[in-house]
Amino acid sequence: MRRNIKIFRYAPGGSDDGHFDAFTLDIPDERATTILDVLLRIQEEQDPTLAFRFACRVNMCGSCGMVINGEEALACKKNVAEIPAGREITVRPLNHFPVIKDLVVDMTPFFEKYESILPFFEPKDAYSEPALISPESQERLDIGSATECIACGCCVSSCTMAHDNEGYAGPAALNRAFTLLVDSRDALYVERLDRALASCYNCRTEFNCTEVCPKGISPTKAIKHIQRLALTTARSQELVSIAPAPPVSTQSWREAIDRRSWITGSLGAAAAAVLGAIGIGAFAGPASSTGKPRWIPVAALAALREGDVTTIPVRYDVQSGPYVEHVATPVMVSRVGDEIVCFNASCPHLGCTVSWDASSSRFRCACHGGTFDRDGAVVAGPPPRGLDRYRFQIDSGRLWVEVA
Amino acid sequence: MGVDLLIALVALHLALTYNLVIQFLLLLTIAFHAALGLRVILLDFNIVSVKYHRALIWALVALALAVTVIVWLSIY
Repeated sequence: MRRNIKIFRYAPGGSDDGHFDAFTLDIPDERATTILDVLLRIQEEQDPTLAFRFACRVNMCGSCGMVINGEEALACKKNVAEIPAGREITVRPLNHFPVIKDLVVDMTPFFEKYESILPFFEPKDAYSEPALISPESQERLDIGSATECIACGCCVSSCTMAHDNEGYAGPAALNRAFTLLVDSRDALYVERLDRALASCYNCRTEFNCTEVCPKGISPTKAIKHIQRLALTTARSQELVSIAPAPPVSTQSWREAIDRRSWITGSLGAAAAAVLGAIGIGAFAGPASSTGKPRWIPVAALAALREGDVTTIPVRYDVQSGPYVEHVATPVMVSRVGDEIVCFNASCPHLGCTVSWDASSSRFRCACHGGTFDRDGAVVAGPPPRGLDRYRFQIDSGRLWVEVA
Repeated sequence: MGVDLLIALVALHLALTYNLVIQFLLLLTIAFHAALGLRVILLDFNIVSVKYHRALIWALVALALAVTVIVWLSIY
């Protein structure tokens, strides 16, 4: 079957920061062809400058770790048949590692962190014979397959926390620390635990490392075990000092997140829900607090004194979602002949209640001396504008004002 | 993206405090957040084996949805 393959290319000193080259290959038996075979054929048949790293070809050495269709894997283990027919094959170097050339990355940062947790075995006692540890012993069962790690770097590449946290040793190193911490023969328990605890709380339990590990190891399980060791050790020893975790900086999302497509799916659904909510709120469904103006009866027209200002208390309710606000406010109605003006009694300065002073024919605010003339215009004091007016209507001999 | 979404939701909540849709989304977000926190606690203390971490997510999301509905109906 013919397959389209895109491979990340980068050459130091080149004109760009990397790009993808497209290749096409006829693969007669996809079930018997690995991605490593594909790369070797491309190198042999189409582009001899293609750089990648490999050694054992049998999932033992961890040299050929790379990101294949968005997921970390060993090129010698990943089969072409695992990628759906017709789908393009994309190959790029591991995330979070400096790229040396094409698919070859610099593993130095990985092994520096690996060394930081004292990855070597230091025996408590000198042994002349190999120590016997029963396969049924709890420590062996706890360690499980964690010793099978081949340090391929896939877990670190998949980890969203490893790159942006200098102090975080990463899943592979902590998995190694775990295998030694659980080993009863280990003489560096306290020192190792001290170092492991300083970084293992940066794990966010995302299980990315567990998902991609080509050896089926769960570094997350190892990290959780180390965290629990802190509790048991703290009870029995006073030697353990838990160093503060370094501050977490903003993490960068990896380019390809196919593996966590369910997360993106969830977020997409949530985004759609939020946008939908905005749409509903803005167009279709009214908000709980309607904000729509409505008409409130004030008084019978006959009750308004001619040539004077009548202050009438008005009460109404405002529904805000499940809550009801009881509003009581005075409405000041000026009536001169047929001309009626309804003033809001709230001072535009700071909201104190304004009252009508008939002796001076002024509206006055007792709080800060704001004074308004009969038309509501500012005469004196700090108010920034004149009195607000209500819209009103007269219906069946009654005066109604509009409130929000 | 998740953080941006959360900030957008909180901003919407502040702008449209009594909008029932926004309130429901906020409650849903809190329930989901709590479910994930519960997940970490259960895994941290080995109450649930890491073998079941995928199933745990779905179980807790279902629990969060159920709690959301119960809380919502008890309020409104």
